[in-house]
Amino acid sequence: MKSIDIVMYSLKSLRHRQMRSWLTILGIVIGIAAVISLLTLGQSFNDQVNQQLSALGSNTIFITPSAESSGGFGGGGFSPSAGKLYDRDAERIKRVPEVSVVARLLSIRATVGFKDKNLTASITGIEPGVFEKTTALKIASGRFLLDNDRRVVVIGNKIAYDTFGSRNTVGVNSAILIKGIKYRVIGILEKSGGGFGFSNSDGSIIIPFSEARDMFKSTLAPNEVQAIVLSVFEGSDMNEVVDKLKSELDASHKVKPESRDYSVVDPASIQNAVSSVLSMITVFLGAIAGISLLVGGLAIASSMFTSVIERTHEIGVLKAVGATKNDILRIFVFEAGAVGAIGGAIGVMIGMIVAYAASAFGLPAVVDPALMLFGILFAFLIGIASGYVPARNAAKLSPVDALRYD
Amino acid sequence: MRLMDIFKYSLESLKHRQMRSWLTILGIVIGIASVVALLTIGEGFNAEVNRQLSALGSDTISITPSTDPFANPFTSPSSGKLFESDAERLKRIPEITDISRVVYGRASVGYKDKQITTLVMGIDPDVFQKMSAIEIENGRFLQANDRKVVAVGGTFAEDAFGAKNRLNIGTYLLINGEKYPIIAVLKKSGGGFGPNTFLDNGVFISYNDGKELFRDSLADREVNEIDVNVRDGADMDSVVERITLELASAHKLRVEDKDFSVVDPKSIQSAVDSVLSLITLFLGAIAGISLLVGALSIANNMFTSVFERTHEIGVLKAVGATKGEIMRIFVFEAGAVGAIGGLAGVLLGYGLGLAANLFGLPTSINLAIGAFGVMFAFVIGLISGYVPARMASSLNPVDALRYE
Repeated sequence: MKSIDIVMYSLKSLRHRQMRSWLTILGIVIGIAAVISLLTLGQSFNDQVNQQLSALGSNTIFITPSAESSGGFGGGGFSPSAGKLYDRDAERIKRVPEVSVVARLLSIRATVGFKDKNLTASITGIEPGVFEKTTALKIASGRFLLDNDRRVVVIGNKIAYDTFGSRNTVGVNSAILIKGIKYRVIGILEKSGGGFGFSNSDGSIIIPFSEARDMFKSTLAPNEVQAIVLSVFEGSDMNEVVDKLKSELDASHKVKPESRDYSVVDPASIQNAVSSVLSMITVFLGAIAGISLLVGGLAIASSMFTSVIERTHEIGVLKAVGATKNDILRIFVFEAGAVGAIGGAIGVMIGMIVAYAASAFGLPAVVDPALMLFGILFAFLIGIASGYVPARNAAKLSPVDALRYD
Repeated sequence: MRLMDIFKYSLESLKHRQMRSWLTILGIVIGIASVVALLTIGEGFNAEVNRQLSALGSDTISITPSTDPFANPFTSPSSGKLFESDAERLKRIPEITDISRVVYGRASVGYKDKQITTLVMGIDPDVFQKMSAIEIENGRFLQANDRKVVAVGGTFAEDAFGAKNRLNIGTYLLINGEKYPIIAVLKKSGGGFGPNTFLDNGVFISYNDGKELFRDSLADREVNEIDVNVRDGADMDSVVERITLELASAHKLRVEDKDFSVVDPKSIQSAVDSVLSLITLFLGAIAGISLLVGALSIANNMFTSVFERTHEIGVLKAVGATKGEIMRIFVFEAGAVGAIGGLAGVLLGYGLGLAANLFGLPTSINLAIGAFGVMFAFVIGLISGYVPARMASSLNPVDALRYE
């Protein structure tokens, strides 16, 4: 038989079994729809996180005093650091030729007052001219700090509009008290939204480095800095730069690589780490939803077994008029594959609709044609795999016995 | 027909359909097993977390200066401030037996020639010890009048300065350059959720030393946290409410504008519980999609079965079986497919849960989950069998008998 005949024959017999076919197809539809919608949502979430992480600046590298095993960010303040960083470390890494800008950072909790309200917040001390070149922070109103600024502060969006109460917004030119010292607000940052680590600037209160160091001299070691952020020249090989930075710092700290008391964190590696965790979660959820496809496959097999028994006589006739073993095998395998593929196609569409419906709650769904194709193909393969054993049973029937069967 | 006869008849006919029944049952087995395994592992996590949270002490209440009790105290701005006067004020509440003021922050800590930055807590020792699940490995905990001495957590002692530089009593730390002899190393509380990580990595000094150490980041007479102990048997909810009222009035705020949180261990526990349960339910629901597919497969199977047995149904009706009896035969048959699948699925699910346990995931075998699994599968079977069974029962006996 020609392949096209086999296809036509299979589809026709599916139509004859109406109810049973549709229930079987519906099983596959549900499974594929669940898998596709979860994978689509997972992908969208991943994209969104990546977009936020890219706010870190792709040519920027952070050096922190936390252990490498903690990912460089040391448990949000609860865990001990591995060591300390000093001014001389910031000087030393300027030896790496790819490094264009080096900025020192301090970050300490202090009392912040506005009008009659006092609270505790993190104060970040930065070197204005160089720091600005290392970040993608955007100013919503006012301006960023300049090198010669004294007693002025740039604040994050949350500090401006929320922290002191919604009726007490802090505007440009307002005065706030930091540890009792009057600071004039000269800039408010754009809202950064969610965000991880350094990329969330909404709660930032940024003052000049030298003032911060002076303010916190009692809790800082002499010449201590709490993080170093640096930019590298466009087009440098990040991995190579990271390696060079590590060897400079190892020498400056007199440590061996295995007892390193600092971390060098580049955004690409954060992005990769976060991405791979998110992908793992997505795949895990997809796999759990995929269990339903296994059940759907069993349903196809069950339906095909029934079909083979019901059509024993018909198979006998086909064989009698010259259909080969292989023809019969292909008819039934293709029939099962068609159930899978039809279910897959409908399932992919429903899955996309579900993902879009979910995107109404704030997660933009991304249509991935490869994923759609994968869904249909996967369902087709499930069909073929489930149809194989019943089809072989059909192919093996002896034509004489089959014809006699009623 | 008696109910017993209906059962026997249904099971008998299942046996005749061998392959098809088994495939359908297998579908349910897979669905139930995955749901049960996920719930079992989820339950295990929940139990583990609860075990660790209970180390908090069940009659301790913490007051923090942030309206969000779970905000990171090192990165998020606080909502307001707490003062020693607030701690004083709480003495008015008769159910409160002890009050510990806490100041904390990150400070430079040195040992031999190495310096790190870490969390240092200044506490009122006797009260703090009563509240936390502190156990001493070596030495003695701080006492009320101790000055310039330090107790360190088990993990901190082991790891902070490297494996070769383990801390022990008799040596000293430099905290912001000042010498603090180590008088106690705490037992490791193990695990690593919430308050226990905190104890294990803690560096504890007296409240007055802490105030001096953090004078730069603290306002005059400010405290970072107040912990109180409540008399045994007191009603926690009403004490929490009373504290909220007292502090709101001390801060001259209406209760709905309060700039602090009052957290009792139960509320932490229930918050964590509900998050974990939500995750478990979500995963269970996703796995449960396979049960929906399994149910469709049962329905499909039953439709086929009704067609194949049309003649038989005619015979049954001819010998006096009522509509209701036919209906029950088929519904029960579908229910049996579900229940058998459910039973095997529950066993397989428990097995998977225990296997996951070998890989370090906590599991707790909950018989209620198993019973629920079997029941649920049975009900799924009954529901999927309903439409085919109604079709069978409404067959006209004459037509059915004629059908071949």
